[in-house]
Amino acid sequence: MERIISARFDIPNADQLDVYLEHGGYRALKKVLTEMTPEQVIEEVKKSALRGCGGAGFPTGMKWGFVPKDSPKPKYLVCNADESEPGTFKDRQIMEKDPHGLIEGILIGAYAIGAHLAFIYIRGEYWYLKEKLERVIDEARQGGYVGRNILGTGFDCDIIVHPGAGAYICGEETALLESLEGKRGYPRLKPPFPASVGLYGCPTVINNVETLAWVPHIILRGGEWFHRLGTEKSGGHRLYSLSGHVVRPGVYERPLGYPLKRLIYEDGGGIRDGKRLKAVVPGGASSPILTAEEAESATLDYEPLAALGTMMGSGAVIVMDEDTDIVRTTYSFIKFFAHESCGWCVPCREGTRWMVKIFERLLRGGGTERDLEMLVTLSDNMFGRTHCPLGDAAAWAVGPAVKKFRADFERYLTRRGAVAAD
Amino acid sequence: MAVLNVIKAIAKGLALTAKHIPQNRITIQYPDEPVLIERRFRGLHILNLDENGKEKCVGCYLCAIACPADAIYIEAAEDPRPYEERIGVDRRYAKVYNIDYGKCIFCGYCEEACPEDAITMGPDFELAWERREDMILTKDQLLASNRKISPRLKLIP
Amino acid sequence: MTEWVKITIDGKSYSAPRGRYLLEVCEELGIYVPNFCYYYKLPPQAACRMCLVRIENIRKLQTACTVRVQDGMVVTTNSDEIIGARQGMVDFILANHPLDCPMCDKGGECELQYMSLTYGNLFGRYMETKEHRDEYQLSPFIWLDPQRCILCYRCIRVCDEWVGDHALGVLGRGAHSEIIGNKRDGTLECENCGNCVEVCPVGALTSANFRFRARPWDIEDTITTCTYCADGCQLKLSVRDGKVVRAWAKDMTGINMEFLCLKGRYGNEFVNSPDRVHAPLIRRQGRLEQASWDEAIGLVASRLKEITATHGAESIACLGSPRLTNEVLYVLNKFARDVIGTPWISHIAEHDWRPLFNMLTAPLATQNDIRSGKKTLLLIGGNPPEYNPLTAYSLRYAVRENGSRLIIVNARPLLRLPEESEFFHIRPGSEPALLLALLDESQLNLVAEITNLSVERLGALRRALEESEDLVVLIGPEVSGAALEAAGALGARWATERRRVRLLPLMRFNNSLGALDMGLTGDLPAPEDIGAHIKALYLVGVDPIRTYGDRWREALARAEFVVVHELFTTETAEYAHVVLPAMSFAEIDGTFTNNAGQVQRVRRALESGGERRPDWVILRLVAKGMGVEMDVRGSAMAMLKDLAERVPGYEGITYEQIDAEGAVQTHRALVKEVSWNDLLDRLNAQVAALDRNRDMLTEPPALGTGLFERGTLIEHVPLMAQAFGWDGSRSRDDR
Repeated sequence: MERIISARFDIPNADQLDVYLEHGGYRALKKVLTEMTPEQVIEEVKKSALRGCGGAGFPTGMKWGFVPKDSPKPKYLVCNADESEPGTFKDRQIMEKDPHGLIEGILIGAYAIGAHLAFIYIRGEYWYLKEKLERVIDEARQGGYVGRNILGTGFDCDIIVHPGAGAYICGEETALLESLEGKRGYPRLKPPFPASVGLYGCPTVINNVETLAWVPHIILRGGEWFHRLGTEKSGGHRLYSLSGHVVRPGVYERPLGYPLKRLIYEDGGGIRDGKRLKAVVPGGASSPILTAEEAESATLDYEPLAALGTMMGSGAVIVMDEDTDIVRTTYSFIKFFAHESCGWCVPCREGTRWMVKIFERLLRGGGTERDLEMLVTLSDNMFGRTHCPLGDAAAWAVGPAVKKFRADFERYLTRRGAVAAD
Repeated sequence: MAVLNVIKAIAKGLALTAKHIPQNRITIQYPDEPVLIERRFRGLHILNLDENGKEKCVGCYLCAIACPADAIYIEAAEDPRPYEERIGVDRRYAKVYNIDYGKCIFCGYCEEACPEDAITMGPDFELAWERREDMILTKDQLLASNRKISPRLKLIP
Repeated sequence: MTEWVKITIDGKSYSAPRGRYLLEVCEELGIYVPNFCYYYKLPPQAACRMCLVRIENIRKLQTACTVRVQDGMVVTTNSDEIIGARQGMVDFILANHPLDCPMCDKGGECELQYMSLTYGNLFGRYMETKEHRDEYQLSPFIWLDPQRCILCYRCIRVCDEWVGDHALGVLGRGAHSEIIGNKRDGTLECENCGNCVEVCPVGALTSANFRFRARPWDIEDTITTCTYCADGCQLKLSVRDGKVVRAWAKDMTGINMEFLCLKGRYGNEFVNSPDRVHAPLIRRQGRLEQASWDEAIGLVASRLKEITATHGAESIACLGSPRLTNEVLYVLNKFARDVIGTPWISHIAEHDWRPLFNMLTAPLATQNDIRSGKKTLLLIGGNPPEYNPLTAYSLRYAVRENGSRLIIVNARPLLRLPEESEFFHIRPGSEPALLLALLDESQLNLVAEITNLSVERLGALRRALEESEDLVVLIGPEVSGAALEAAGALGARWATERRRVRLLPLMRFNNSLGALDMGLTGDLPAPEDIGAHIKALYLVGVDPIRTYGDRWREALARAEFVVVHELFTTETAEYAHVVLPAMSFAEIDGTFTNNAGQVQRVRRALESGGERRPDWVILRLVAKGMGVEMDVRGSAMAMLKDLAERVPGYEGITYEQIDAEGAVQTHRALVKEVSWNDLLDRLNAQVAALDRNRDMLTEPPALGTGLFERGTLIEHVPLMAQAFGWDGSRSRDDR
């Protein structure tokens, strides 16, 4: 299978400008700036059926198309590099191994929407990458690829790298904008959507690192080619972050519509120590857990996974073997969400804390049958009623786990079970 | 005949008297003897204390509003000291707590309204004062610690 | 033009203006949608998730407070699913909320209590331990109990949007979020207006003066008008056992919407003060001693008659306070002119506003005029956030909601006005020159030199006015004399067929305008006159020593006879021969006229203790003692009727009308013909006399310049004295 976005991952020093140029770098940018109008760029991306790789899977071309052309305000492009979904580590690979590819994508995106300033909002934990990106941008600026009059075409665009301060919620696009503006990272009310009222009240497009990194390839090889790589509704390949109890965890570039089973057993080399599969989280901690049977039949694409009651998310596949204690796993997820809840709305703020407390009691050995019902009720009460998707994610991490792995939970209902698990 | 009827009536009356002579006496020689009081008798109120001697009343005014006779007057205040030093169980306590026994009808609604079990109806039934002013009992007079059960009453166990 | 669209709510169709929030539409239609974090005219928050409704064709339940009405919307507000969702939310909110309502100060008027009764489960399902957080004091006026807080963010939003203090924020994340003040230690540094307490739906924010003092069911509320600044906010005085326990804003219907300032909210407890004068006092051997009313009135009447006989009626000066009701001022004017017969009838004021009203060419602007529609607002001088807080709130509202343009002309930068305003920084004292620039375009060069604004900037200012279609000019007390006349003439100069002009004088006392209307317009006697040709002073509620300084101390000492009607034994009362105990605004009926000329009711909230009497009753008694039966009727209501017949502009105003409309604006006669040459001559003369070398002031006036100022009334409010470190009131030392 051809590797496209990860093609340069194995080339040594691909993060240096000259090596990047050697391997076809900035050709797409040149093509865009000299041969294409912004509308044509958007049209090409629309044709490619590229969907956002950050989690929500919104069609990128459509998102770009929403930016009002006639607005007198400046427009901004923001690259969301706040990769904090548990289990996800693909953007790090891009920024580490192929940062110029990302820069090129950002510049093309900025050209398409008419932005002259782009931001990379990078998570605080990636401090070394922030420094690296700044170096890379400087290099590109000296090469005439970033800044004023790019490639002599008269197009100006500068890129600013801004580190987050370690809040998961700032990966949510509007909370990210708030944080970028220097405020508390609270998600905004939508509508208005960022495409019309975004950063500093101006039209803004927010794209994931991987999404933007795909753009140069689409420009060079055409939207239709990209579309054909994937499925009908979602084009191209994706980077899957495979982790957990597999023999070879890592980032794999595979097409959309790829069977989950193949990813685990062929690419990942199967379950570690020859054990049996117990459960898979297919799209990062926010996506509901799948049982082994469900995972066997799942294909990695938006609609089929939705039909299984879970989601594609950021493509972070977490594999768990038969020895995994789903109760402890779920507890660690819900603790994460409780810690990261921003506190804006009631169901998420109070619900996550409540669930954490129930889990703690369960683990201490003070649980009852009623607690399991309560967990399901609470996740039902939270789901779909929160201000932003974090509450949904927290509800999704718990409700399905209790329903699908009830036996695991019931073990804790007696004190003996709890002690045994300790 | 008339005389005979009179004698008959007297004899009937004396017979009834004679029948009661051997029976138990009901009249209590109060105040020489103590009065027997039921446990659930609704007498003079008591303001209760907790096990450490802190006033249970938090001055929530619920008894005052429950009172149909408008006999209870409260002024709540704040005592920010730590539990060990303060007057009540909570930082909020009743600085003034008066019950006007000129008004009280001993219905027990205050007891029912109290969320802290701070006010209960005691057994004390001796409610006679010489002046109207004296009929208003203050907190000090109502507090359990300052109350002695009258020797002239006895609780039915 | 609002466009009306058809919507269906719970199976019934209605029409509603497009773009309104669904929750507001439901409220207006009388369909109850529960909510906590929604608050009228605050930006939507959608934090409590109580107002969830089902909208057809949308997968998730939607919050009615954020959804805007669209054509053909089909809404369900009441179904098992929605009731279940609401129950779930109440469960969540109550999870860590203490359930000790009897202990909580909000018990009885708590929105969460109502909501729990309506939607809560009978038994709590939360079995875990609650995380306790201690209550603490955010400021001398405001307490916070973080555990009771349900994080609806109303307080933060009201502070940001209405008040402009930006004093509250959130600390921590998730379930550890907590409301916190802006100082390093988490307490508050703000104007302490207490509007955050007002809007708090639960008992998280409480007022220090009201905490634990009463329950909502055993207090009586009376709607009355504030007795501090001239904005004339409506407030509810809550009274328990003959004591004012709190002031609360009137519910949305008053001119102040639902907001008060520090003074309006916390400055009313002087009414309860034990220092109040409770019986007449007569000076005997240099000391004020208690006397009977008959004795006191007899003495006043006979001394006034004596002085009239020996020195003539002109030797008696009457001074009224601009805090008195219109009715009292009306009677005082009659008393001075008819009973005593002196021309010396005036009121004390921080500023002489008479020139403005002598040259008034535009109607006065009400708060509602400022708040409704897109406008250009020109503020010349003044410091509304400190001296007229409601005007400042209205200015913020106008800019925020209507995108009005606010232009500030001031010698100092002002805090807590909208950031979007345009600021013209002028030299201190050069306001007359600026008004000259607005009236006479030919003198811009001269004005530029005096005001330190460039000719271009002055041109920009004039252009802004030219572009305006609806102009409100707010005039501060820095504008005086001929410049004030010039301000009054702005209407004649700038009003055209397509441009409305209205004026708002930023007066300081609640009835400054009423005092002018009631005819207390004579000149104020100079302190030198007293003892010279003025022998006696009749002072009603005034303390000239405090207002005008020590020069009056000697003047009062020289006077042969001084009578004071007072609430407290003020410094002036020390020089009085007779002090008559008067009633405060909370104890009488009457009316106040605010700076927009709106007449509003003052209602009796409590019985006055002691032997106090209303001022007008005292005046009538004194007149009677002097052998004159005043033609004054027996009640404030009847007095207003008399007054309305005689005072121009008050025609036909009755209690019924005020009760129905809230505030009735007087019809003010406008000057039709302005003699421009005379006016410009006077203004030029004033401008010529200006000091052109004064240094520019760059420091904004500090927070609390006006609000935290000590005054005759406010110093008797225990909480204020404690908060601002005022030593015990003076009068207490005397006794």
